[in-house]
Amino acid sequence: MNITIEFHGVLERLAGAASMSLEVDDSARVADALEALTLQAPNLADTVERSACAIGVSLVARSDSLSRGARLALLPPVAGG
Amino acid sequence: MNYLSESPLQLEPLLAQNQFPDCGGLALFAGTIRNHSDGKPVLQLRYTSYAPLAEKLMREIEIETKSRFQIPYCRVQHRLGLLNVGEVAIYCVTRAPHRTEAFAACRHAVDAVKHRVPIWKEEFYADGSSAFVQGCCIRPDHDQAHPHEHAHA
Repeated sequence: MNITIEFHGVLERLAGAASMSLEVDDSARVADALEALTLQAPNLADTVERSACAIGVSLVARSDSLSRGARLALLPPVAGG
Repeated sequence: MNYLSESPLQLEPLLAQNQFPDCGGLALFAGTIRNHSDGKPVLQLRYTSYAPLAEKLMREIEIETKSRFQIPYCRVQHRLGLLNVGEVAIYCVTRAPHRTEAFAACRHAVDAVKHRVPIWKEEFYADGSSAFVQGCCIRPDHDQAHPHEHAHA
């Protein structure tokens, strides 16, 4: 199935894009998507490791399942204020 | 309720004037853009956010702050976009019967926004370079994730 990865903060700079499509198994969990992503883009691995993941208004765990068409937002360490 | 703004923040609506006659304390924090960072001259900052979660968390921080400090009013607002030195990046206003809880609540809310809300800042330096500010990891299951008490710059 196809999902969309959203890059925020420094990840957008590192990825060179605001988002990308990713093909994952129908049974994929968040961790599987991140593994597939960092295989394609190893330069993101360190920051992805320290990033939270969100879908919509909720943080999701690495162990959570993904659904077809999901938009998975990657949130690197935050620095507001 | 407006939590994030691409336009300059307006203080007056946040003050809730004349709405809390039982409160003798009003604490206000304004975070402004300073012209240096780690010894490097800074010209501008750009703030971005993941707005759906950022707004939800800022609403929760207001509710949490009011409950924890037993105060009737707390508002936080954060600016997004490109800001020049001296512009306001964040306002926090609290009202309480007395100054002690007004100050404490204001500090708590500002720290919580800085540590928990998905907002990022990129500094633009006088030499033409730029860098994202290293921040707080908010991954819930990560060792370095931290809702905690400390002072970031």
